[in-house]
Formats: sequence, structure tokens, C-alpha cells
Amino acid sequence: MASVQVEAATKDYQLGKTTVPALRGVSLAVESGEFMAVAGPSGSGKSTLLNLIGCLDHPTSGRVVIAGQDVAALDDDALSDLRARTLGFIFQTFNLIPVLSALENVEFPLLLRGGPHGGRERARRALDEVGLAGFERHRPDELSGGQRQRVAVARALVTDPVIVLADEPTANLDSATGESLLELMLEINRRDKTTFIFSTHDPRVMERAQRVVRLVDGKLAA
Amino acid sequence: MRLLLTLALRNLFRHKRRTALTASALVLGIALMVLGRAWTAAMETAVVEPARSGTLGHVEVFAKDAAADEGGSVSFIMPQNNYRLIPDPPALIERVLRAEPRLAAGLARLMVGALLSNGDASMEVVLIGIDPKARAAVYPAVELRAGRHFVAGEKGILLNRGVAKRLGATVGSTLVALGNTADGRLAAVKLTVTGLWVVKGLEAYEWGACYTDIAAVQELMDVGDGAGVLVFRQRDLEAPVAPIAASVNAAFARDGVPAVAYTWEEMGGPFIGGMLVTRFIARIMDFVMAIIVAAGVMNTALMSVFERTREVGTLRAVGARRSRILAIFLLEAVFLGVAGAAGGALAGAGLILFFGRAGIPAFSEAQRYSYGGDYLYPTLHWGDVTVVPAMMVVICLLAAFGPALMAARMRPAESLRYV
Repeated sequence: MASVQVEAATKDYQLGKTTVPALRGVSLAVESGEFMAVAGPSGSGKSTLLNLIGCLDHPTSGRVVIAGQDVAALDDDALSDLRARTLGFIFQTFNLIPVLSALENVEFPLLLRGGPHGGRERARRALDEVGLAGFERHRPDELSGGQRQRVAVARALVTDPVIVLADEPTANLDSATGESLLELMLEINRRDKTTFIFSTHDPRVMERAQRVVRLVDGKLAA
Repeated sequence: MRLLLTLALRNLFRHKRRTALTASALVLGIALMVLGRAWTAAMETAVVEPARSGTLGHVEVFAKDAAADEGGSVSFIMPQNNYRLIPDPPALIERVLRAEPRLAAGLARLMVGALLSNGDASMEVVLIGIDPKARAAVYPAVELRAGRHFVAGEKGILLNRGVAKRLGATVGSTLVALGNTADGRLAAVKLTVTGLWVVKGLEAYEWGACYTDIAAVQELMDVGDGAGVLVFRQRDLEAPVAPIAASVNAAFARDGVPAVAYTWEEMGGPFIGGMLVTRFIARIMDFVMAIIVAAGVMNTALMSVFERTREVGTLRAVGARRSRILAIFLLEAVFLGVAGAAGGALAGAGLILFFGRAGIPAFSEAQRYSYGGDYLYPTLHWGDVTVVPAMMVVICLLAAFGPALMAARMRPAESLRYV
């Protein structure tokens, strides 16, 4: 079953009086448990596609269906809830909240979801899983780039999302750190059948991906 | 909620200097506003309270259409010898006190302009004829510099210091008051000086006023037992007076009594005019201060929103609803407001206590009028140190609402792209 379905999606940006097309009729289906990379040069529309799949933006035309739900039918709160329950995000620049500790950053999505107690313990386990046991109280500025990205991975996975969207997650890491992070995500994909969708330039990521789709000028390359 | 509170609190400490500056502005603004309220309240008390206890009373009752011949409404300033008088004042006083238990006592008063002479020395004065038996209960602020209060039947008079000096009169002097009867004839009455009066705080307003027995003024005007006005003092000095006057008027209407009750505020006069001007200026100052503080808080909130645009995108990406983003920024404003309010209340209270002891000096004659003396002594009231700070917390919240709403309405993808 496809966990993500994108049908003829277009996205235009308005820059003053100029309309800039970022996506031009992209159709894509991502199966549940896939480890997929979206490759392409800068400006090809990779991040825009991930934003549409991540319900962070609306397509100008076309349809995006996430875990069986047409996102066009959802209001802003429902989209927020969908992101909180179904999606996990990993950003190129980590995007941790600087005033929160590593543990609090990981716990944050759980608190947003509400529900049963024990969020702190789950967050602790998630940190442990990404190899950051003992760093719970560290603030982001007290961690290395690799460690910050691991915290971001833990934050993305702590809610047991159906889909994890990673926007060039290894771009700001040295090769060894990037490699180990990739291994970690592959292991989680194999073990939990979590769907991973990457946007990347990194050939190592492309090598390990089950499928690589290429975007050129906002279109899927054949 | 716990994490939202933590986040909001820690965000405030991201830019310690900026937060400290905004909080200091809040503390200073609130402290000055708190002191300002105590200052204006003290001025009101310094002048109005003696006025209520020495001349205005709390409720004044006039005959219906009392000033019809004078062009309309009754006035504190207008001489009252031509007003339509109230016949049999004791009966009406008793009726009013029976109808309105919130009034403690009533006094009949009749005022007239007269020429007061001591031998060759003469001057124009205002004779305030009052019932000596009710004086202590209604005019407790009328005190003596010398001599004693007059009693009923002796046609005594209390002079103020200026009049006594001008006339060369002392306690025991016999004076002649020359005036007009109600129908325009010349008349005179002999009065014996029993004392020199003072109302502390009202020295600047004494003019040529002399308290005398109402019977003497009635004799001078040849008006039998008529009174120009009945002055009443309320039991609870802090209670609002308007409902009492309204209740008295309702009783008059019900019983068909041709009289009208006014509050001391309605009666106006120079005391109220000054008070209203002071209040008005104080409110404008409060308003200006609130605008300055609100602008500071709004500026801080706006800077915070712009600096954290990407962070807002991240929070939205991990599932925060718009309402949570709104809450985070509003909570920051509330924390800032509460800190400023607490500091401002404490600083304001400290200033009030300090000036309450040291006194705020009057630097001009005009200020001495307003202060009722050389120094003004503000007093600490619970309301002053709670109402203004609480109001400022609400203003902080309102000032931050625009920026917070802006943050909440940001589109997640655009926020994440923001550099």
C-alpha cells in the first residue's frame, strides 16, 4: 500500500510579478516501508516536493494523499495533527530548539500530541537508540553537528511516524558522521518498516536507497 | 502546557539585555503610574476631604427650583441669599435622615454676603450661617486657632485669620454685620467673635468666610426659619455618595417633597474643578505611559518573532498548532508583564512609603493650593499597587497579540525557508 501518493502536483511561487514554477506536474507513489531518495540539482524542486509530502505547503494544483488522507480536505489544525502523528522531519540544519535540552527537544512532539504519560521515558529511549545516552541535559549548542542531527533523528522517530522526511540530512555532516547516521536510519527502516524519503545530493545516500527518483527543473526525470 | 511554559520562560532569557531593558521600562513606567495615582489621590484627599468636612458635606438638599430666580442650577459659588429657601429645616432634616440611614447627620445652612464692621474698619465677607448644634457632626473639620465655638442663642461668629486681622478684631469683639433682607431692605445684626476658625488643608480657600449662627443670618435676611441648603454627612466616608443622593431624591419624589438632593461632586466648586483637572491630567499621563510601555513590549515581541521565524516553522513541522505558537509568544509577554508589574508595584509602593514619610514638597503657591499645605503626603492603598500593575499585564498581552498572531499565521514552509 502506498503511504504517499502525489498526483500531478504543481507548485508555483510568486516573486513579485513573476511566477516561478517549482514543481511541474509531479506524480509519485511511495510504498510503505520504502527507503527512497529524491535526487536532483539545487533548485530542482526537491525541498518543495518534500514540503508538499510533509503537509507544510499546499500544491498549486494536483493532489497529495498521505496515509490515505487527501491533505487538501484538511484544515490547518488537522494538518498539524497529521504531522504530529504520521510524519517525522529531519532537516539539513538540524532545526533543534536552542533553549531546550536534547531530551526536551525529543519530548516536544510527544507533548504536542498529548495522550498517555511516559513521554519523557520514551524520549530518553529514543535518545539512547541514536547513541546519545548521557547527553539528555545538553543544549544543542553543547553538541557537535553529528550529535545534533542524531537528536533530530530521535525527535523525528519518537512518535513512531509512518513516514520520515529528511531534507538533505547528511549535507552538513562530515563523511564518517553522515555514514553512521545513514546506517542508523537504514537500521530503523529495516527493523520498524518506517518509510524514509530523503532529498539528497549525497551519492552514499543514493547508493543505499531502495529507489532513487530524480527531479530536474521541477519534473521527474525518466 | 508545562513545556510551553518552559519554552516561553527560557525564550525570555535568550536576549538577557533586551529582556532586562524592556522589563526595566515596565518597572519604571508602572512605578511612576502607581506613585502618580497615590499622588493625585493624596491631592484629592488634601483638599476635597477638608472641603467635605468643612463646607460641602456629602449630600446637599436645596428647595426645588431653588435657583430659578438666579438663572437655573444651584451653584456652590453663587451667593445663596436669593435662592428659594427651605422652610422648617429641622423637619426636613429629620425626614431625610429617617429615609436614608446611610446619612449620619444634617445641618441647616444659610449664606449671605454682608459688610462686617469693627468700629471704623469694615470689609465684605460671606456669612455662613450654620446650626451650632449640628456643627460638630456635619462640619468636624472646622477647628479653632483661638477661642471657642459659638453656641445657639448667642449670635456668635468665627472669623478667619485674615478677616480678624483686617478688622482688628479678637475673641470677644462685637461686630456689626450690615446686609440686605430678602426683600431688599437694609438690615444689621450684632455678632460677638467667639473664635478664629481654620479648616486644615483649606487655608488657601478661606477667602472672607465667617461661620456664624444661622439664626443671626435669618434675622439679617428677615426670612424666619428658612435655610438655603441642608448639608448632610454620610456614615461610611468611603461609600459612593451618588446612590445615597438618588435614594433621597426618590424619597422626595415619593412623598411629594419639593426639594432636590445633590452630591458634593455635583455641587462642583473650586475644589472639584481642581480635582477633575488633576484626575484628567493623571489619566492622560497614565495613557501616555501605557502607550510607551505597550510600544516597548510590542517591539520586543516583534523582534522575537522575526528572529525565531525558522523556529516557528520547526515547531509547526513537528505538529504544533497555530494556537500553540500564539500561546508561546503570549506567555512570553505575560511573563514579561508579570515581572514588570511585580517590580513596578514594589518600586511604586516603596516610593509611596518614602514620600509618605518625607512628603512631596510644594514648590509654588499654586502647588500649596493643590497640596493643602507645604507638603503632600501620599498614602499606600492596596488598590493603587494592584490595579495599575494588573492593567499593565493586560496591556502587555494586548501589545504582544499582533506579533504573536503574525507568528501563528506563518506558513510552515515559508518559515522554514526564512533566512
